[in-house]
Amino acid sequence: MEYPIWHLTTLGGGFWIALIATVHVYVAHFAVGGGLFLVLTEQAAYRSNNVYLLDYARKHTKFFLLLTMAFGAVSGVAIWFTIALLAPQATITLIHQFVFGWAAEWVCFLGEIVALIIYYYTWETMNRRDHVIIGWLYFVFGWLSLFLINGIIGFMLTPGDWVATKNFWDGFFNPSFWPSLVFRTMFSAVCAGLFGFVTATRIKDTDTRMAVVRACSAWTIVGVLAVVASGYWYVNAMPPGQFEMITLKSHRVIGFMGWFWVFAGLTLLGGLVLAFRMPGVMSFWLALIVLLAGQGLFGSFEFIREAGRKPYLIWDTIYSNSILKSHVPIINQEGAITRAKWAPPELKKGITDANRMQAGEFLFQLECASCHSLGGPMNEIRKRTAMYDANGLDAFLTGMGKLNIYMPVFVGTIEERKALAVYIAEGLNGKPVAGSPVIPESGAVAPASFDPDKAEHALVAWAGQGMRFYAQTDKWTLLPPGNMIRAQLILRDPLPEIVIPDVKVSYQVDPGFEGEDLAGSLDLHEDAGRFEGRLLVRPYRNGKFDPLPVATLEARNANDEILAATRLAVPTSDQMGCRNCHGGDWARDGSGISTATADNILAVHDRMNNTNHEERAEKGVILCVECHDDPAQGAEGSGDNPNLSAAVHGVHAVFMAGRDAEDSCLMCHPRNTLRGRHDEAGLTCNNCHGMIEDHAISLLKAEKAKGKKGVDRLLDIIIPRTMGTQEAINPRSPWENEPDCLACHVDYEAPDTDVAFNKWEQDPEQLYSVRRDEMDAINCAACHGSPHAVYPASDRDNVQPLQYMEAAQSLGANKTCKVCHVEEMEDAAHHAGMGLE
Amino acid sequence: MGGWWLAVMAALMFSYYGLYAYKFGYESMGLIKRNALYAASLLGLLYVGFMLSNNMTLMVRPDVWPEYFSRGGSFLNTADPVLYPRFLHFLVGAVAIGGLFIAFLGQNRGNDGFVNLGMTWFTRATLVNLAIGLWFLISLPRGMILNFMGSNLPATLTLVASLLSAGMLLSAGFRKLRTQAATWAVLTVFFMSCTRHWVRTFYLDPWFQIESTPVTNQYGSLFLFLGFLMAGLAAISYMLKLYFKSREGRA
Repeated sequence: MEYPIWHLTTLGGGFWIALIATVHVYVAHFAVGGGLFLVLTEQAAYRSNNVYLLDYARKHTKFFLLLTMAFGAVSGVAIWFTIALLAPQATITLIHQFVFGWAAEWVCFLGEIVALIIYYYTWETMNRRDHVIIGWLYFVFGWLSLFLINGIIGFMLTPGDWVATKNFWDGFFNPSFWPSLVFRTMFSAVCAGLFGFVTATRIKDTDTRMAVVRACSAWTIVGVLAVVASGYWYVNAMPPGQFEMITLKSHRVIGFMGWFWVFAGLTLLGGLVLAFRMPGVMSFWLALIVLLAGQGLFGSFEFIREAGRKPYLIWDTIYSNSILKSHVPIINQEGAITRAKWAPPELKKGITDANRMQAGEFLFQLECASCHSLGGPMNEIRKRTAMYDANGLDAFLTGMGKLNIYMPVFVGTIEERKALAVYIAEGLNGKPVAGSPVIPESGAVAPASFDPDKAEHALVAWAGQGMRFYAQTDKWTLLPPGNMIRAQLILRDPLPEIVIPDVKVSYQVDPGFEGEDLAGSLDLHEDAGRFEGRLLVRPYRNGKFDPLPVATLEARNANDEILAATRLAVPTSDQMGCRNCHGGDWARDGSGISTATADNILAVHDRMNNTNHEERAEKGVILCVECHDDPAQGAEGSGDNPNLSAAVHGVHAVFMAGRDAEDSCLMCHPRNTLRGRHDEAGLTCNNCHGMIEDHAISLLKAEKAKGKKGVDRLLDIIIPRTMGTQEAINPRSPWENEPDCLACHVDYEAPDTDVAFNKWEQDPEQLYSVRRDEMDAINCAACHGSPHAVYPASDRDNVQPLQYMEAAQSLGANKTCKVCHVEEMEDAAHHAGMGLE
Repeated sequence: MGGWWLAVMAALMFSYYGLYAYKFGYESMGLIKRNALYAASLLGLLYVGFMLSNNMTLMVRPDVWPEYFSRGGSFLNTADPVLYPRFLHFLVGAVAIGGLFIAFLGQNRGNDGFVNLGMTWFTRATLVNLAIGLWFLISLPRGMILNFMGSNLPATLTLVASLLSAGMLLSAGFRKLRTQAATWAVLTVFFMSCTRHWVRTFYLDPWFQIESTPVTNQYGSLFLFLGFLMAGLAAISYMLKLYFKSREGRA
């Protein structure tokens, strides 16, 4: 924010630092270990009076000088150049803290240069004792350089108490100082052996060659074993956050760790094989290969160290994109472009439709390009974001750095976040905003016949859910299809009765729909005075998506004579919007979750929770309820995982924060979930269920009380929207504690409020779809229709009122008591009001 | 100029290895190849110097930085009239010091030809540099020139000290007094560094004052450095002593 940005595309994403640093540190460690190797070799030559060995030491010095002093030194300066270009904020912070530490290191470096030049140029002229002293002084200077740099590099990963004290010594002797020093010292020994091979394998005298090569093998093998041992100490010395990042959280680290072990094995093996006698040429080429393996070993270690530091350059202080953590609140308030000292002048005036793309591009450079390239080898952004449209990407940016703490949080205003999302999705990926799903027109269907003058019975029925959403793929099942159908048979009379004995209610789904058991009988629930059964219908009729299948119900007596019949919509939809963020297309005809989407969801689940679902799904369909309990499915789950609803809403609330129902709930749930009177009145999901954050908190709090794992992690990052504090939100169990209708309709009156959120029905028997009237006889939904589709709803939903009243209204409304009572009534017996007063 | 700047490293590495190859392969290389290698290495070093001058002049001109947004990221500070005299000033200064080094080498090896050649280069380059210095001065913004002409007393005195020191340097140089010349050269570089500090301060005045930098008064790291410096210099002196001991009796 304080400095200009270096605009990089293909070679962005840390390419330069990765390239220069990994090669430099390899040579730099050789410069330390190789110095010791040199002087010890010289002494060994004197002791053994071996002229070949002495000649080798001399030649190896030239190799050493040319490699460490020219390439090593210049590439070290190149690191300075690179970090100053890529991360000036972190560089200046390091300079402010450690300028004298570096000054001390430069003294050592000067000592190295003087020593090495004298050492190299005086092989012939200096007496042996003095020459050995110079050799040792070189090593001492070299190791002290490592000692000093180690403190500063370790500081970036584990600043320890420095974060609070800002004290030089706290930062320098940080929690990983000593293990890192031992680790790097041992690695220097490995480097001495590995680089030693290159020149040793060219010694002409066979005996000397074997002796030196075997010495190099010893340095390499013992060194690698010591590196592994000290590496174990190093990792275990990490503070919890960094330890977690290295060992648990990050798939990226796991990848590098894998490479570390592969290269460690190869280096060891190479060291062993080279110890065997073989022709000089062969061993020389093998030495080069082993040298490359060593580079791989060190490169993978450096990547692990760098990845363990994520999302920071300096832990808990400066994010990977050079934004100071302490500046985040003010930048969020004022805007990243406003706060960036070097931003395009035209953007400073504000984001408009005309400059939105330019703003997004600048924000990408400001906040993303330090880790993500455009078409380059490092963390290519297009590949990683190809699945998102601007809306999905905006959700990703909203949750970025919160659950997946590998990346920093997005910093800036909501408008800036959206501009960045548009730039990446549309500017870079050319992906247009996914249009709203197409919901086919579910036209009216002919009602069953009803003769108000002659009919002796009336059969009323409703669906347990106004829209039974389901999510079932060839990889996993979150919730299978199956809306519950409930029915009551009423004997029409001035004093009507619920008829139960010897009655059978059968159902038949209209032809053409898919599903299982599309015809059959409902079960009797005598205590509740109703029949019910789950219809496993799917919303596809003759292959076409149709979310309002229709079923015909018939009530028959013991003689199999039809007493009454009715028809109703059985709302069912798999038009789940997972693809909005998880990529993929619809599975079929504009609905359903495709395999690509399902795969991505598993991959994300694996990445976030360290599961192996992608692998497991290859062997068979995963049921989410195997782990997550779910009252809707009567599933108990396993372990202490949060229930399905809490887990799903909890995670998604992090990404959907700040959005209204249209852009949060309905990005996932079928968009025609709410139909009927409440929809017509302008209510949304939020009125009853709360904003997505509040909704998630209510579910998570109930799970927290049960001690479920992972819940705190979510509650820590979800900020309540309407209630001020999390404490103010009442816990609830999904499907069992739902919004209470009477929260708004106090005493069945027209409501004074439109907010039912946070007043949960405590008794599952009192939920709307099973609740009965004040007389404990007729169900609420029998007259008012299915939940979320309260009459009057869509033409198809209205099929039953049209059957009985030829009007789309609640049964009994507008003085239509005759539907059941045969005659007009004067008292509102079912509940107060009823339009009779 | 990020790309230009990072390329400095490649150029420097090329020149280093070029000069090493020149040295180690001097006997085995043909004249043309040898000279081409030398010239190419020299060009690499000139590139490094030119980029350094670009960076240093651009560093003090934050007002130019937004050109990044209109001209793209690869622009250099070539529109700045200060760039050229500054580059030449340092370049010619380096030639002068190189001449002085040759003179010392001649002294060490008892080669009067080297001494004369070195001192000639030293004095002539310095004379040329006086002219370039004047060019450098008058190409600075007017307000800054006035600062060095009396408006700002400390700055003016610093420049005057530099010029006096340079005069002494020349005087010693013409008399071939190498040690004196070297002493004045060190002093001149010191005063010129101070002058450079004034130039930077004046340039950055609208954006940055050193006084605004927070001070924490932590001296521990300074003592760490001083400890390393003393021990390091002692060890370096010892090594140089061993070196010169090893060369005793050799030309």
